[in-house]
This record gives sequence, structure tokens and C-alpha cells, in this order.
Amino acid sequence: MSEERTTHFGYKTVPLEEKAERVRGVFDSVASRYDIMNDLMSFGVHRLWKRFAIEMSGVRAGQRVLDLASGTGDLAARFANLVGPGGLVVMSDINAAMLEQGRRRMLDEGLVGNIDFAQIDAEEIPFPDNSFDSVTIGFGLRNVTDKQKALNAMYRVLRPGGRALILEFSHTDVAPLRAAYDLYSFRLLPLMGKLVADDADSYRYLAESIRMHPDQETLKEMMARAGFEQCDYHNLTAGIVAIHRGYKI
Amino acid sequence: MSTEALILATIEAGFNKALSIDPHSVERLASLHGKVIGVELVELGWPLYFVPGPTRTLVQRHIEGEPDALLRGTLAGFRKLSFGDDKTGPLFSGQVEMLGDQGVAQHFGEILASVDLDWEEALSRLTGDTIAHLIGGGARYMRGWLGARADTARQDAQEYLQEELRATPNRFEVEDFLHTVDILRDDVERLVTRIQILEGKLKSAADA
Ligand SMILES: C[S@@+](CC[C@H](N)C(=O)[O-])C[C@H]1O[C@@H](n2cnc3c(N)ncnc32)[C@H](O)[C@@H]1O
Repeated sequence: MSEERTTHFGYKTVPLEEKAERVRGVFDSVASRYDIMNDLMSFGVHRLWKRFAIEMSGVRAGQRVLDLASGTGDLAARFANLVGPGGLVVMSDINAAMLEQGRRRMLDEGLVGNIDFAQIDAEEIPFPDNSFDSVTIGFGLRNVTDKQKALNAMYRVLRPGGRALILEFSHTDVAPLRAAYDLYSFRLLPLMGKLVADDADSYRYLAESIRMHPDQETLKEMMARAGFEQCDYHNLTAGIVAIHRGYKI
Repeated sequence: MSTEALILATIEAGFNKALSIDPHSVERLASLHGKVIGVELVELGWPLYFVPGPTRTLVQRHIEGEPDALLRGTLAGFRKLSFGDDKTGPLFSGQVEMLGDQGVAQHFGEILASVDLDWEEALSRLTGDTIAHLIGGGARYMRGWLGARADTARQDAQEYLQEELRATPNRFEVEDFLHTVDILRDDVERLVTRIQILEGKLKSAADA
């Protein structure tokens, strides 16, 4: 078969293996500025979205949590507080620069001993079946090339009774909001990218990848296909962001 | 959700800030890493959950399972804990009740007693309209609160949906949201202008 498999890189269609490379490149180029960028990007609202996701995770002392696409570790840090000294959080990302940034941050916050770091692709999770109480991915799934494969892997490493949480930009139906959002994503975001990280292309990519992400219902179906049960989702800020949750029974 | 999350984030930041003045209390809190301590102001009728970590304490509205300990008292009781002459007095007189793991409760109570926390300020954040957001499923309060404003049929439906689905925004959230959209629309227009100016500047900088 010589038929080339392609995927969306933002709106451009690119060969599959190239996408992983490009995604890595994008994040390499912005890792150090990512936190500032992230705050600017969503004017700090992302912290509130994350708080909400944390409460939905129900994570508590003694549990084992795998956080995928952790970036600089906003979710992972809160989890490491919650699981206590007897629990474990695996902070992971495909990108070494992000992970390094996260490792320093955890040290600063005194989070040592109950946190491990792993450079992994969400599609190829190298852990045994049934190893975690929670698997989370925050603003990361949209970057993953084969999302179904990642969902399947998340399901596999969850222990029965465990749950997965996906926090991701989604689709809003509120017209004025969508207009604002488009303006924000396609003009303001790249512009800020240029000003702060001097990398407008990277941020344009981020904006486009948000638009290509499956809508709420589609993602829910994909979760069910991966084996998750009792799947539901919660729209935040009128669906700009959605939190999907599913259980392994 | 944003209102609730925003209030919690503010309380969390305030609490950690008050503690950071005394490094010793941060250290003492660290020994409670991962423990969940509910703090319930009787006036509110429901607790906030504090989860200490090595350098900061998280504050949550919901937890699953039971907290390790619960401190319950009136606003006056907690005030005495923070500002009274005999600071830990309220813990032992029962004015602030300690439930659950006594060791954890006492340890946390003593830390609360050692820092100046503005309980009125915290309470005021938690009252008023925001209570409705925070209470979510707390039917007792919700009913009283909605009852004053909405007609019964609609109220029942809303309450039901909220409790069963926890997904439908209440009308105040919707109004609040629409108001935000109006502001946003204005902001967007201003922003467009500013972007055009900035784009112009970048362009002329690049050309130069
Ligand atoms: C927008 S950041 C999100 C970081 C963090 N979870 C947060 O919410 O702030 C997206 C992250 O996904 C990572 N990423 C992209 N593709 C990935 C993949 N296939 N597997 C794992 N991580 C990936 C990037 O390196 C980046 O750190």
C-alpha cells in the first residue's frame, strides 16, 4: 500500500509521522514562555477550568494518577498535593523541554517523593494494564495525532473503578462568543505569540488545532468506543472548554 | 462554574498568603500533606475542604469520601480562634468542634489559631448570590433562594435538572453569562482596534 496516511496539522493536511515532529517542534519553541503564554491566552481562566477538572477527578490521598501532556504541570502539581506522601503522580509529556520545566516547578513547590516524570506519547503509554486510579489529559488531546489510540491506551492503564478526565477546548454554539473566540484564536493568539514568544506560527497552530478537535458528542462517542462507561461531559464557559469523564468498570 | 471556582481560588490564595507570613506554620501544615480537613462555618451549613501540601494548601468545595477531620463552629468561634486572647481556647471549650481524627483536627486548628485570618471577609465572599452557585445540590438553601425569585413550576424543573444532571446552568448563571457576552462584545471591538494598531506597528518594525 503506497497510500500515504495523512492527518490535520491545524488546517493543513500533513503526513502522519510529520505531525508528531511538528507538534514537538511547536512545543519546543514555546516551552519556556509557555506559562506566561498560557495565562495570556486564556486571561487566567484556564486556572479556573483546571480547578473544576480537579474537583471532578475526585483524586484523594493514596491514589495513583497519570497526567498525560502535563506541560509545565498545573494539573500534576495539584494532584501531587492531593494524593499525599502515600500516593503517586506520574507527570508526563511527549516533550522533554516541557517536562524539565515541570520538574523544576515541582521542586520549587516542594513536591518530591510522590511524583515521577516520564517522557511519553499519549498514544503509546508504556505502563501495564490497570495501573492507575485516574488518568488525565488537560489541553493535550487536541495535539495528539491518533486520538482514538490515545483514548484506548488511557482506558487500558486505568484500573477497574478508575476514571479518565479530558479537559479540552471544545465547540461553543453561542454566536457572539464564537466570533470573539475566532478573533481571539486566529488573530489575537498569533499576535501574542509573536510578541511574547516570537512565534506566531506555533500559536496559529494551537488555534487551528482547537478548531479541528472533535466536538463534545463526538469525543464522548470516541470514549465509549475505547471502552469507557458512564461517559459524560460538562461544558465550561459556554462550551469553549469541555470536561469529559468516563469510567472503567 | 466560574463564579464558584473564582471564589474558591480567591479563598485559597488568601489563605496561603496569610500563612506565608509565618514560615513555621507552612512547615507545620506540610506534615498534614494529603489530609483533608473540612472547615464548616455553622452560618453557611456546609464545609470547605482544605488539603495541605508541602508549600501550599488547596481549597476545594467537593471531595469524594469523608474528610479526615472536620472543624465546625460559628463565625464568632473561628474569630476567637484567630484573634482571641486564649487562641486555642475555642478548640477546647467546644466552641469550635473537632470531629474525625482528633490529632489532625487539633493540629490544623492550632495552625488556624496561629495566623490572622479574616473570617468575615471569607464569609462575605461566600454569601449573597454566590451561595447559590456554591451550594449546587444543597436543596435546602437552593429552594429558599430560588423560591424568592422564580415561580414554582419553573423552579421545580430547574432544581430537578440541576440536581439530576448538574449540567443545566441556572437562570442567574445564564443572565450573568449574557451580561458577560455583552461586555465581551464591547471588549472585542476595542481589542480589534488595538490589534490593528499593533499589527501596524509590527509591520512597520519589520519593514524598517
Ligand atoms: C497546551 S499544553 C497543556 C499542558 C498542561 N496539561 C496544561 O493544561 O497546562 C499541551 C502539551 O501537550 C504535549 N503533547 C503534544 N502532543 C503530545 C502527545 N502525543 N503525547 C503527549 N503529550 C503531547 C505538548 O508537549 C504540551 O506540553
